[in-house]
Amino acid sequence: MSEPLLKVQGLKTYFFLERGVVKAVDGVDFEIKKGEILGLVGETGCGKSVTALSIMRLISSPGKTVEGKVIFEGEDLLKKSGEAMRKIRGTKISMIFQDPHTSLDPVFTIGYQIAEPIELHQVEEQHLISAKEVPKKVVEMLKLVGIPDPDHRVVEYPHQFSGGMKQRAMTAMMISCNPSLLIADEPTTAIDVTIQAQILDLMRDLRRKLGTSILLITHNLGVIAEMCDRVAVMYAGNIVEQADITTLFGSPKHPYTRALLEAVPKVGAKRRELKTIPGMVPSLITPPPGCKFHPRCPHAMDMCREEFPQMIEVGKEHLVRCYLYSGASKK
Amino acid sequence: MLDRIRGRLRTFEKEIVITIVHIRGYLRRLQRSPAFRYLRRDIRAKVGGVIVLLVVFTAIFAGFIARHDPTTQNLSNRFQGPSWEYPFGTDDAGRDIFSRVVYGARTALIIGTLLVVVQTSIGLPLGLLAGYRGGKVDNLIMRLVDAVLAMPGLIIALAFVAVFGPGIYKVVLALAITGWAGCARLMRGQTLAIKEETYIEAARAIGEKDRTIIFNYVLPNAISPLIVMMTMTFPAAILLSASMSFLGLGVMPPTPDWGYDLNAYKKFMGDPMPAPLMTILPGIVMVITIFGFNFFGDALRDAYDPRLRE
Amino acid sequence: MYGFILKRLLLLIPIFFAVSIVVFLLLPLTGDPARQVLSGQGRMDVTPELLDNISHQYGFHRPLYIQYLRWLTGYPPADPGQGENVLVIPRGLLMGDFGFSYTRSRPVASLMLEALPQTLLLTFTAFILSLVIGLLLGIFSALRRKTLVDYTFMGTAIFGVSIPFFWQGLMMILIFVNWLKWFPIPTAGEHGLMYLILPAFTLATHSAASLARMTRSSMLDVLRQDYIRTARAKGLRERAVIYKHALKNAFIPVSTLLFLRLPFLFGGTVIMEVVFSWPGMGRLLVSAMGAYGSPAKDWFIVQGGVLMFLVIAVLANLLADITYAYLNPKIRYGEGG
Repeated sequence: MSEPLLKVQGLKTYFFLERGVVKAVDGVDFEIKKGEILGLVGETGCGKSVTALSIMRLISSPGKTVEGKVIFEGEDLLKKSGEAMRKIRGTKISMIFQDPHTSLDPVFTIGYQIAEPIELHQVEEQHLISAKEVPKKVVEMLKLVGIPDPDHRVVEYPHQFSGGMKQRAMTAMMISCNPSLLIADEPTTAIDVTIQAQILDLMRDLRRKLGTSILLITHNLGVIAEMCDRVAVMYAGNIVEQADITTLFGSPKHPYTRALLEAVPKVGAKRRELKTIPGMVPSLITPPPGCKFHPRCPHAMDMCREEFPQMIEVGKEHLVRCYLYSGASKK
Repeated sequence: MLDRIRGRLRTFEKEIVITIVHIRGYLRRLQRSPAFRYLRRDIRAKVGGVIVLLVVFTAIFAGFIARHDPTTQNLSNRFQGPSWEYPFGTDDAGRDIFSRVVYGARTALIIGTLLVVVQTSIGLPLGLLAGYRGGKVDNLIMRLVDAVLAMPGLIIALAFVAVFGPGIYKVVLALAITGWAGCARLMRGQTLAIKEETYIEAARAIGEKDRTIIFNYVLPNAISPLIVMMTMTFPAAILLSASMSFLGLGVMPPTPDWGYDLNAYKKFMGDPMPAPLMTILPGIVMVITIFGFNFFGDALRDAYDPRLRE
Repeated sequence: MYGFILKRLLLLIPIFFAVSIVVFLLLPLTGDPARQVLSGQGRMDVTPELLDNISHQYGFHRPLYIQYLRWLTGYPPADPGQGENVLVIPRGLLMGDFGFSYTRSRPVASLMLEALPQTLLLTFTAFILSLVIGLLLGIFSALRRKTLVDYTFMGTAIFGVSIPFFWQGLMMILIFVNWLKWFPIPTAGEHGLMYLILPAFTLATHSAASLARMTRSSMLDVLRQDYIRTARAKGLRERAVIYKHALKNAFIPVSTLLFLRLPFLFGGTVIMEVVFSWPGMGRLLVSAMGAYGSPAKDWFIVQGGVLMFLVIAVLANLLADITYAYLNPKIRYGEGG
């Protein structure tokens, strides 16, 4: 088995606010192999975006990554200097953000913004292409992401693009330097369903043609089902279940995963009421003791209230953080 | 007959009690409001607030704080340095400078208060009208506001005084001619924003009259930035009116005024009669006053800003 | 963008007319223009015949709209038959005639021509100075938010905004002319470099302080935006993120505010010119307005001066709009897509 492209170990990112310390990411472990699409799914506020930003080391005060390792291509990113990390961003690891309307600089042309990383990384730092070839490459990228009439669109400003095109332009920006890992933070949430499909197709193409690994963050289970090879389910700052896609949807083990899947309304189902998960998302400043899900879990036992459960291996590469399965071997 | 009077008195008592209860409730809610809590911790609010209170206190009780009459001349007592009797010394006519400064504070605050009243009386309804009605009315009023905002307020104020003569009330009017525009624009912005809120839609849906909507919903929610603006009018008023009086086109004797005095004392900054403290000390008081209002106003503005809640 | 500018230019016409009417009305509003003329010349011997004579000489007996027309265009011309004095009846603003100063016995236009460049020099110098200092201070503070440097700068800035121009001018004179003797005593009529520095600097500090505050707050706003995060995610150098992306966006609201504060700056110039005896329009205007209740006012200078300042203010406003249209791509290129 070859080394995974990305290996996150014990990642903890806390936000030090006046009203307390928000433990947004409280011990997260996962791996992404080369050419794999890993889905990171969970409700809003469970720490998915913060995890992604921590990997990119884009967390700024009052947040801080306090513990953990992020091993990318064999090196711990958290130990790298700021300058070294900067050279990785945009070129080896890239991130597409959730809201394309606010994520593009309104005073620069789309072409300029796409050219920036190319010029910086490929021309200046890596000497892969010459400055003269940059404009051509920018147009190429626009074509790649499916923007029509790219020669004219290059000099336009973000406000002249539609939502879907903005998202595609941002994608173009981020893949222009052939990253090995692409992090996509809710890439489909802010756009129409029809455009969603195109964006997802684009990402699948990337994986197919260039072997790009993708960390796909979303709360949409349908997208996960369509795109991912493996999935990790997050709750209140921890991963509670990890499995390949068929296993997760076929035999989910963690009560939270099960509740999530049941909450999705199914066409043709007989039941009238929508099934919800009782209770509220826990506070990240003072999370419940023991297993963070226990107040809402139908199977909560005494042990769940006392000690925080570790990940337990219940199948091939299938991990669950739940005492229901403590009979199986601990990881 | 006596019974009727007794009855009326009782209802009157009841009304007073109800009003007091209302006020107490309002104060309690105010104390719990996020803005108030912010202010209690912000040093700008504390320092600025103390200065403002001191100045207001001085202005109201000027008679008790100043030991001498600010206009009494005593030619045998000219150019005295600071002493216990005359904390700021005496001027070229033997008058107690400290008393003049104290009464000058009263003048400054009167101008500020009047200016706030006049400006708001003009600006608030205009801005409200523009924001609420929208369309052509809005367009027209905003064009006017923009034009006025582009004008150099001081110069227009000076021209006004040149035409109509000096004095406190003329100065207030002169400054209000251009000053109302800021209030109007603010009010319009607020009204526009509030108009879009769903609770206004709801109020209309149940058939509330426009006037009710304005008074019960729009105004209370627009109050906060308005209060900030009213606070910030004071430093501007003091600065401008003092400048006008300094130039001789503002407040004139016998009304004591900081600007006027500073102009009178400026000849004594150097040779042949060096008494620089005459210009330095009153000036410092003036600067601290303006600073206090600015400081407090800054804190107040941040207190109402929802984005600054962590 | 050009449509935007054109609309603004068209608006200038009604504004100009409105302004001109207001300025014109200054003299009639005093109640007795003829007496004003006499007081201006220092004549104490006011008899009804003299008032009537002067009134006819200056054309004050004519209906207001005729007077306004004359003031603006010079038509209808002076009629000696009615006792109108050809030398003092206005020959038309639009023809370049601002009237004849009855206190200084010169055409107002020539007085203004001498004084205007001085005012522009002073204001422009102060503007540039304040721009440089204010921007740098503001950016610096924004980048070192909540540190000692930030608090010091911003504390100084609030003080800077709280000091009235005239008092600051007096203190500057006290310190730099009287005590340190670095600069010459402000003398009427002198307008060399050494006489320019103090008033320009005094003016500049006030503006720089408020500019610094605006820049800081605008920068902080911009730095919170998502597109800054995107820029960093692309691996751009921090310098590029700040000075290219953040600054360009932060500058747009600041630039508009900059030009909108120009009228306020002109007010300050007027004060500075008086305090430092700088021979500009402000000093001319204030002395013509008759300080300390003095009845000696020269209304033609007042009208000319006020009009000039108002026109400059309107132009500054227009400049602000044009700059905003140029810098903001949404206006420059219109909505599309």
